[in-house]
Amino acid sequence: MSEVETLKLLAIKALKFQQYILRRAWGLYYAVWSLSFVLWLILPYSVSIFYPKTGFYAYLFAYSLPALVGMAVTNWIFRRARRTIELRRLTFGRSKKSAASTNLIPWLIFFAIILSAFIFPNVTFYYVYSGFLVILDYFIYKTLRYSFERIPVEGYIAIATFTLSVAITAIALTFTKSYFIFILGWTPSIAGWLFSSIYSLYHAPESMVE
Amino acid sequence: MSEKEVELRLLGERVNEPALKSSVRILILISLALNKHLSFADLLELTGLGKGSLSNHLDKLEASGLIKSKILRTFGGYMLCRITSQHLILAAVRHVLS
Repeated sequence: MSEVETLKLLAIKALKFQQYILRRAWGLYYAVWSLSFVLWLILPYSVSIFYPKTGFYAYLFAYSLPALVGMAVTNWIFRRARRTIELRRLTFGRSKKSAASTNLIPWLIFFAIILSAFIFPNVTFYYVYSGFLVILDYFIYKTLRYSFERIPVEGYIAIATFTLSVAITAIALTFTKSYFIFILGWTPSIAGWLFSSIYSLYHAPESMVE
Repeated sequence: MSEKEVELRLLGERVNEPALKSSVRILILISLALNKHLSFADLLELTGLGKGSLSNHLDKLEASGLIKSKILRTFGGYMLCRITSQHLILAAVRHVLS
């Protein structure tokens, strides 16, 4: 057996193991973001109730802390996923065509948001905010697709609940401006991502034998 | 000298090392290159080896400076292996497979 064939076989074995590692890492990712969603909703509200006279920086801290924690985990998992994608491409010789379309679609969404913000200038901020959530939703879906050959069931649950939350947020911010509906909108994501986390961590070893 | 040339030169210097003569050790290195850190338990799952045999392989990789391992203080201890030459291994795999 040649050196290339041996390395290919080893790469295939490593990729199989990587399915297990990535599924476990995604489990942690869902858990951290689920907690971040809760903190996002609770922290600023708690600041406003318990420390009503605190200034801008307390709110800034309350809003940015969950995001920073979530982003750190996102960075950690996506770097692993990127290296896995590269090895998969080298091993199976898949083309880069799909990666190009991945980059194009978020930009199309981004420009659609900017354009609609000009058409409806009175709701600009809410459009942009909701629009970025849509891009994030799409980004999560794409990364899931690249991480796994077949997206596991908990991935679909996470995407579906997040999409629902984004839709409710967009409606709440654009039409009702109700904080209650906004909070209500994020409960499917909190529950869905927590469930996905437990399911993913529990079923990760199955990826080794599939 | 470009970054790629430096990587390939380093690779050329190390390719005949005894540590790289075993397919199990190469498999460990590929997985570590993808993940940067892996626990001893993960490596047992990956290789399907016994504890003693895996320890021998890890000792050889550590002796050649390709990985570092440390025991984390948890209940019962927890061994974590970290790759020290991630870019080099990824460059090697890229070079052979592409």
